[in-house]
Amino acid sequence: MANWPASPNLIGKSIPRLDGLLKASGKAKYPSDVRPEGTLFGVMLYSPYAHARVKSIDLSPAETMPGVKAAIAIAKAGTPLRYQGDDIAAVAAETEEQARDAIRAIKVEYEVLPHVVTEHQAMAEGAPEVFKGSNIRNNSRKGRSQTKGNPEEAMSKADVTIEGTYSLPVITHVCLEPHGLTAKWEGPDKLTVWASTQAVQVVAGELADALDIPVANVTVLTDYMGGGFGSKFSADVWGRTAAELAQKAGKPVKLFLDRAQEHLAAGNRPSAAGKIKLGATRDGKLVALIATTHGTGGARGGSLFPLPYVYDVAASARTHNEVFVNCGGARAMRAPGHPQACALMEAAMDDLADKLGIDPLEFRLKNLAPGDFHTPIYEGEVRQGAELIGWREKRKPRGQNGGGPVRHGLGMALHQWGGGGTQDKKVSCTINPDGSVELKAATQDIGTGARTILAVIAAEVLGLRPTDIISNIGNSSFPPGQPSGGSTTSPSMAPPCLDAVTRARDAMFKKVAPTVQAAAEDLELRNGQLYVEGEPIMGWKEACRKLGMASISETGSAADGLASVGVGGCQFAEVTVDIETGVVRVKKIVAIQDSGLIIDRLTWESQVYGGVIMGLNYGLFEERIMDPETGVMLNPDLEFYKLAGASDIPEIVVRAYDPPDQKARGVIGVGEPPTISTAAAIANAVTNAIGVRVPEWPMTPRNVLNALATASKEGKA
Amino acid sequence: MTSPESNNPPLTPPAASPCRHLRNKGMYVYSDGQGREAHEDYDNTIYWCLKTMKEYGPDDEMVAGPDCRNPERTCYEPF
Repeated sequence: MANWPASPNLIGKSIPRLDGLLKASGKAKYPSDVRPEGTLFGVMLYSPYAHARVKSIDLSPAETMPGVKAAIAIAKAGTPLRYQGDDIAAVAAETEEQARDAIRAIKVEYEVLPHVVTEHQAMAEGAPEVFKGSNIRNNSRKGRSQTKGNPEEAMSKADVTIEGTYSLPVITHVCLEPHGLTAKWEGPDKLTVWASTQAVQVVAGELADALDIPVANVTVLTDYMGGGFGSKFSADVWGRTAAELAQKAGKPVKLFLDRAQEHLAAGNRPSAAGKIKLGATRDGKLVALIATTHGTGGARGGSLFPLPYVYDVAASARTHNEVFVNCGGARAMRAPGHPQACALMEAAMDDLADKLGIDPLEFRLKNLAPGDFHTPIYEGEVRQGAELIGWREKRKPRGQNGGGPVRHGLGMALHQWGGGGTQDKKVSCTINPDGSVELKAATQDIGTGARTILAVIAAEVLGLRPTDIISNIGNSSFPPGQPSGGSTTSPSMAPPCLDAVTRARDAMFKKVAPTVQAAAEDLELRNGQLYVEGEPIMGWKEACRKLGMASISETGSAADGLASVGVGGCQFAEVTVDIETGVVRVKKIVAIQDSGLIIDRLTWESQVYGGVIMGLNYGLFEERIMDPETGVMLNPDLEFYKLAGASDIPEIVVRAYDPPDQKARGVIGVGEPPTISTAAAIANAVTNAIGVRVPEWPMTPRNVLNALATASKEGKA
Repeated sequence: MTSPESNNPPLTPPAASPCRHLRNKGMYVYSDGQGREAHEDYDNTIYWCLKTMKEYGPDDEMVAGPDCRNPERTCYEPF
């Protein structure tokens, strides 16, 4: 069985991604760049109403317009439309402008129905129903609750308690490349698709099912893609529709959503709100948590999140309501549930530490689970992070951060994630007589560096450079590969890659050894050379020519001990807050993260930087704003849906926590964990700066000033 | 890394297998059957129907784990 090398030459080093230059120069072709000969443009017609019923639909005005080659009705008379953005019809035309004109020409009669687009509207007595159901009341359904010990009794014995109400809004997916695909029929039952997806084989399977053709006849290609973050797993209505339009028109069809549709229909992170009561002993040991929470994932569930989070609470009770509204449905978004859980828990932790008069860092360390394997890891991470942010030197107790209008504050938060892989994926490795090495797997690189990581492993085993390896992924017809979700890609694909390349190398040694009068076990590859008994005897290409006419090809599988699961980390934020304007500026973020064995430190760090920036957006800017009166989203664009610009990005210090015992755990994913605790740390820093809890995210001027005004009315500020 | 024990009854009795058109991300990501999508203390699984590719099924009712185990739904097909 192959093992990770004890003294690697490449693994763990910072190695530029193989496709970095192609991406930076614009030569990398994303699915939305692909336009096969004769491609038509597909456009979707979607509901302008939050809640309506289609009374009639007439495609004929569109079908006769210039350039239009196909039109399809997705909804029919009687179809309910449950949110603005719900699918109605689609058109394919020779130009995008013709398709958009044609969409506007489709005649739809609507019966507009009463809607609920906010949780407040939805939970009101007598509110219009999104779904009917015996276990749904006031558009709410109880999520899984949990109880540990006797929390009421424990709370009554707590020396100090706090009760806080905290909330985070729905935020929408904002992938730079929109959702969609280009479909081209190669024959009556053979389809090629260029899809912006996190899962080439999933899209192939779903399209085959929807179109009733063999999955072996569907090839999904994703050489590159512009972000997915959990929202690009399914073929989706628009993907199926593109294939149907292409079939009807007899030409390829490219159908990608526009930015407004992205906000409305392409997924979002559910909101989270809760009343949390937390109690501790006078010396700072948590004894009880009692929480009532709710959230909305639109017209679907998915708003639950873990609570308590990270910390050891002796007794706890938590209930949750899933709230249904007439808005686009939730989809997985980078660490589903955890950013919400972290924000609520860490706000309560900070508030209780303040009431106890204990340094919140010490309070957190005191409440890590005794005996848990991750507790000493957290302790090491927190110590490292505290030093890098200057916690001891710079932090002052809450509200004691100067008397001028601009206040300074520090905050921190801890997080956890799984990040383990699966054991059923394959990678093939082919060594050719011309010296080329090709890896193949039906996984994809969603921007994390998956392509590069596989090449690094192969180069390590074969003594080559990563750029010598052709890392061929993003093709559904290759050996089964991992969908990119749950931070599972690297731990799923790295072990079978190591196995495949090791097998191929050993097969090569077996074939080459007789030609150099040596035993296979005396051969070695390093620095692009073949060594016999420690002496270099020929270069890599010359050695490969000894293979004769036949290539060597081996397929690798997973094995125990090469990957693991369970990571944690902590983040610290330093902010300034202008109490006159409410403007928050993040000055510095420190992110400490463990994730086992790091294959490529450069792409690993890129993941953490990206996660922190995404978390900063969650902490400072992002918010889906729905108009309760009209039921429409007020900011379905990139002008009023706020994201950080370059000048909003602070100094970000990233450190891997990877002492030898962590490396020995094997590969664990890192895509999700570094985005979890950023928003929580920022909010705690804001609170530390101004002396008042800002209970609503994001930390916008409005929310900051509201918190100050409320505190002022209550005589607390 | 604490994990409170769940003391919940299932939302509906597991009377039938899930509909064969029910999908969630975990089915694809944790495809080796280790069931890691199912957390002990919370469930935030997001479902869709393969027939509609939406959060509601061909019968216009909700798509979810418990809801799509109901043989009385007109669109239900056993796995």
